[in-house]
Amino acid sequence: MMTTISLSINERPVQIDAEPRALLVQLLREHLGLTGTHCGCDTSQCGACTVLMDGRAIKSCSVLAAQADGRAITTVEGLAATDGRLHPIQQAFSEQHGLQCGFCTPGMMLAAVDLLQRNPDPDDQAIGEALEGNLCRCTGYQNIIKAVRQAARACQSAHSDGA
Amino acid sequence: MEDAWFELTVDRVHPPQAKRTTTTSACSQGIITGESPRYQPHDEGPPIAGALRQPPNTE
Repeated sequence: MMTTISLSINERPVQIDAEPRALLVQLLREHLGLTGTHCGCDTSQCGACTVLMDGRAIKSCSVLAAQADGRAITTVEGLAATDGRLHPIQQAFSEQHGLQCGFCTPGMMLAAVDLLQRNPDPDDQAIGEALEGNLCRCTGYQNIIKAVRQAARACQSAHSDGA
Repeated sequence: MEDAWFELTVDRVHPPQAKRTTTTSACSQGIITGESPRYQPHDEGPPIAGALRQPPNTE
């Protein structure tokens, strides 16, 4: 038995049939080929599968695909602008070298985007608390925190320029 | 003398420019943008499940 799911993924409407037991991360990776979202622990501990649902960070391995019906999902593939310009958090991760193996990186960036939407000027403690659900085994987190700080500055600068 | 050799070696491995501007490889850039060899933008509609895993050619 299949269920039809209608949702928006990276601002594109998608209608797809999936098993009721299918997880959102499976829908993204296996049905839609959006393999930028990684699946690490499969038990909502590592945060590698983090995506945005209606603007808030969620772990897509702990959400059924059917629960995303009618929602707007943003994955790492949808962060950059349509003309290819990187999102400030992507630019910051690149410039601050906030990744080594890269497995946690998409989840880290989307959790950071959620943080910056709620708190445009986070201190290191706020960044650490926001990313506590995202594990990184390579970087020691230092460059990740630097990247989030840089992205916060870039977002504030862009906001003040546009104001 | 050993100190001088060490500094020379470190300087070659990590020249000052490299310390100031970290570079991100093409592979890392793909991670940041979410691209991968299997990812195809679904401009023509989303691929169906398994479409990216072609069956072996049995002919």
